[in-house]
Amino acid sequence: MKRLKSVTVHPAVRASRLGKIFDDQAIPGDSPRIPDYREGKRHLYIGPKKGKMFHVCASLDTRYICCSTHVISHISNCPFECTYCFLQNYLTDTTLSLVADTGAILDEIREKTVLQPWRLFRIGTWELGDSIAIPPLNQAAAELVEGFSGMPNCILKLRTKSAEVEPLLDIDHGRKTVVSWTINPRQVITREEIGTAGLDARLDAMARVSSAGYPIGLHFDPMILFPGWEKAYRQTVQEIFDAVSPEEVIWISIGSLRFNPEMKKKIENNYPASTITAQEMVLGDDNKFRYLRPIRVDMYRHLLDLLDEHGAGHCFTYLCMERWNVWHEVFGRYPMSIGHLDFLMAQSVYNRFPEICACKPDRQKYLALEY
Amino acid sequence: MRGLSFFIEEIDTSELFATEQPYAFSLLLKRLGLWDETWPFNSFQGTGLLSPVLVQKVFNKREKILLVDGFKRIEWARATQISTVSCLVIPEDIPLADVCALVLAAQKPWINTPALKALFLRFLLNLEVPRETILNRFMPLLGLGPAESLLRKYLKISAMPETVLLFCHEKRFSMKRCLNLAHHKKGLLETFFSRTRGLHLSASLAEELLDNINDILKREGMSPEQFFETIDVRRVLDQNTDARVKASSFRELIRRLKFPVLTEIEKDMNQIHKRLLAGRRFNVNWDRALENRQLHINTAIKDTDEFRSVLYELQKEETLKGIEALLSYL
Repeated sequence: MKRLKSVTVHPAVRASRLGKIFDDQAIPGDSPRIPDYREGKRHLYIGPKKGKMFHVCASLDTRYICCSTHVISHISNCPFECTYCFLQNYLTDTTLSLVADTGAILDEIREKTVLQPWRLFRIGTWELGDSIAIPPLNQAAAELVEGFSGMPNCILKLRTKSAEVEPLLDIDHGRKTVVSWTINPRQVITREEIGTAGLDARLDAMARVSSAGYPIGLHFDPMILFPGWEKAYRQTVQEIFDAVSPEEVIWISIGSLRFNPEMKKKIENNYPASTITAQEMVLGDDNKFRYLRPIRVDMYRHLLDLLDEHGAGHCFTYLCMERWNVWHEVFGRYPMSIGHLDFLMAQSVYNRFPEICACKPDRQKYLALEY
Repeated sequence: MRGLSFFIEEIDTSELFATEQPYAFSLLLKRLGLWDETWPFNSFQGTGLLSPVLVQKVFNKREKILLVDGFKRIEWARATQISTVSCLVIPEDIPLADVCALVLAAQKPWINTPALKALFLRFLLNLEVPRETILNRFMPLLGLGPAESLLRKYLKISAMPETVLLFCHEKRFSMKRCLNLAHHKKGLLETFFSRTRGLHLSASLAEELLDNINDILKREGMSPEQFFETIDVRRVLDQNTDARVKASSFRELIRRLKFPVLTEIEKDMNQIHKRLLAGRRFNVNWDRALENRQLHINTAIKDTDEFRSVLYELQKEETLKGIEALLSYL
């Protein structure tokens, strides 16, 4: 509660497990609909499920090779303040919101995923916020973890910059949840990821979660350019693999800083001391600025070399929102389509973590998927 | 204002000059060089006394005469050594917003751009006209919707240095364009507009340059003054050439500083193009942002002979070499 100024609980979910957490401290009612992005982070609203919550990641763009992950949008806004966060230019109701009807969310997922039993669905909860940033978000995550343990063709993907893993440690997860961390060097965490857990705390939480049997996901996204970035990422990768074994890392994503022109102005206004928007960046077809391609390729190659050096070369590593030519330059190969990448990920899980993916992925079925 | 009594009185012009004048929006326009100096003469010629000088007498310890409208005429009177002018005196108890409405009524023909509208809204705020009144009364009078978010945008614009507002006014920039400029720090705006006076700047070019310079300053940890004192910048800005040429050179320099890697690659690619692919019956283009690995080859033909020539040129070893070399950068 220390980060929060108020908690509002909708009467419809007051009796739910999540609705009861704040008990007499909570105000009964509808979302306070806080318009100010920063202020919204300090007011929690726990409400009922409204409409569909399960869909394919909104970033999916057929001009890029996307990982076609699915998402549950049951969290909105985030208590942390990353300078590069797209939410500052996205939300209208900025109240930190959480849907308490976990059962109804799980039912919706079951209804949809049962229609394609051959497919491995990777389902994230981080589209509009951090999966486990603070209580009760992590308690909601724990409810989902338990629900997913019985779903044969689904993997829950929690993604965080926090260390709030306690509620996840002693529950039945059946290895069907991947707990992932967004990773950046200390310099970036201090300057650009305001209010998040430090690298040490993240790595400590990662080690605890790994000991509890969860597969681990690593997201070097957004990679950020700054003087000394090579050395800083080297140090970071070293520390990660001091904390967890590469054998427990199910996948690694790599991406670079990107934002649209409007967002650039927002960042400059909200965080005038940040220099992340001032680098050599060009506008892509998707109206997002990115570092110049040769610079990005250098960054990705460097990171890939580091992963190799630390015995993580066999972990499934993919690029987020990059074109085939960047894939080719970085890996020397590229997936033919979004469906192909989906297949490759399922195949990697099947080969390395057979207990998670019981059904051998059928390449043709994945290639036939339409986006 | 119905029912209030107005009266005519001879006012000593020197008395008006001795008093601080809170309603002097007109003098702000004068400071910006926006007064039509021939106006008083033409006005007297054309309308005589139809448009009276408006003043308000207020008593706070001592009597003060506040000029509401007629700043140009009073200046003209003083310049022509007329010591007293007949003025229409409005009552002291007339509400502030009504006095401001009179100021606006008089100045409205000149408040015809977003920049000057922004200045007028700031003028009202400085006079402590309640925000509610500005929103619901004055914004509609200026042709603006009574929205708080819009008022905030205009006030942000009004906070820019006067030289920048004048530039926006002269170029008749839209509110959005003004707002884009207002996004930059005052120090950068001031230095930029004072140092680029000799350049022919369009709205979009000014925006582009400011955005890029802002990024360079941040990246290099420089102040605007330091940047404009660098040898490269001075060399361009101090050259004695046409304003358009100078603007174009400056743009090129800023682009090179903002995109050092990209401009180097571009230079190499342009050289390859010039050496191996220029002057052909086809054009070769590529994505200048280097994002797409794609070359676009365009041609236009009138007959099969031309088609054969294009095919011949396309199949030349030199062409293949050029294509291969360009693709190696993409």
